[in-house]
Amino acid sequence: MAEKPIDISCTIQLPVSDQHVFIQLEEDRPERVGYQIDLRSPGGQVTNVVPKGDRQIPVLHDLGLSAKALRGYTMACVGVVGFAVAGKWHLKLESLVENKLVGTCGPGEIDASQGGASTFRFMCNFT
Amino acid sequence: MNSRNIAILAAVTALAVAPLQCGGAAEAPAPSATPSSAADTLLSAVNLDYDRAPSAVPAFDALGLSPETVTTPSTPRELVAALLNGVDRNGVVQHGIALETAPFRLFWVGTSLADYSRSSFQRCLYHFSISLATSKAVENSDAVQLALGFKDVLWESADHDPYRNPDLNAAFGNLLGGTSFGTGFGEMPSISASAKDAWKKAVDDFYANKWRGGIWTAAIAPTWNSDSGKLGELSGTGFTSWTTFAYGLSKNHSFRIGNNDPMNMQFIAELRYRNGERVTDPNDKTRVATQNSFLAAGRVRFGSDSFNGFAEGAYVRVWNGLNGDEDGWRGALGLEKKIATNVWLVLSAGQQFGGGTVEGNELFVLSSLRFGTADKAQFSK
Repeated sequence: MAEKPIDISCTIQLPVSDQHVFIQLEEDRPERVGYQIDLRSPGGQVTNVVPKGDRQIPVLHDLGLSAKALRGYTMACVGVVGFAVAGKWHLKLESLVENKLVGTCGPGEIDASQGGASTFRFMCNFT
Repeated sequence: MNSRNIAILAAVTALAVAPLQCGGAAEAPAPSATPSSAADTLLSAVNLDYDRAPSAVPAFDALGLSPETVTTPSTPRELVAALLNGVDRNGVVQHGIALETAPFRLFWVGTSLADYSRSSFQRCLYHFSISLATSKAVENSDAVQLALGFKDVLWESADHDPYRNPDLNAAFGNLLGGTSFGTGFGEMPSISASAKDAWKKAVDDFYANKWRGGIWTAAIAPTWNSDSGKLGELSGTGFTSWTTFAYGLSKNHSFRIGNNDPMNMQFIAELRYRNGERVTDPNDKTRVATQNSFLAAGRVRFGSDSFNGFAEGAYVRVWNGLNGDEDGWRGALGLEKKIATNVWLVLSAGQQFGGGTVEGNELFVLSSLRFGTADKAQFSK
């Protein structure tokens, strides 16, 4: 069985704050995940914020910009998941400012087979 | 040779001839060693399942069921629907219910790999399961029996756990390396076919060798009976509880005998207590008893591609059985050597002491040839 990838786009309205924006992935049951995070400025310049790597989620990542400064940016979190256990698996991306949840992208669902692998992408437009 | 000897020979031969399974105790219980025709002995009065699988479902086990279809609700709504379907509008419990669920996965927000890996308490909660089963108590009657089971994994080594296995961690690293991410703003990431296949193979290998590593489980399942079949008239009929420990040496700790293939080894131990079990003398249906029993059993299995063996022992104590209070024990050894393609030489021996109508200590030895299609000894690398 080929697992369908998760591909979700969303818009996150950021608060007026000078504090940095953090993001993290959340899953509903354990699986191995690897991902990277990129930011694209309103001018189209792409910056790799979090390098490709496998991580035990949730890991909080600082996007390096304040909520005010991040408006107009687009963030892409792309990754791969390898399933050691069959069953439905859900993944979502959360954005936090000042330790408060300001937006959630997803969750997406993959109906996994044992030994299956799939990919995911969350594309967030910050406004 | 009396009937009891024949029964013991049959039982031990079955153990010796049965190919030792990959996954062993962890996944594939061996055939029951209960003598089929020696019902008058103590050891036949107790289910001598030496290697109860840690994956055994308590409610099904308590009723002696092996349901083909098991309902596994993944949402609270599915659970409620399954429970409502189990009782009709007159309050009569339906036969054939087989349900298993992990409540903390149903109602919890989620368990991430970080939390799971970090905390043994989180793993306990994650693996805690509840099972429910019903069956007809007696054929051609309304009577129904019901069991509610609770089980948990008290301890599991990392190499036995699919979420923490180091080989799978390494294989996932390769899967990640074989995945092209780009910048994320163009195409979706793509996994190379070879990386995907390698990951699948790693997971398959893990489950094929799931007897490696250690796991300790505990379970309890109270049982009820209702002569009318109605939910409101259920009355308790005791409980069964057990704890099972299995440990298989990792591939780095396999050993060799001479120039033979690497030898693998697995230890299995079980303690079991059954309360309120109703037993009937098969030779005299009017003789019934409500007995309590205790079983302590252990087994060592070892094997390679061309050689298998086991050693096992069990102690049984029965209270208020058909013959009152009694106890006994049994030990057995078995060896299996491949001598040609599809041909195995099997040697087994055992001894049983005490209990029931046993008049003395009896030793038996058996050698035989096994011919078959299961040429590969599966209890191997």
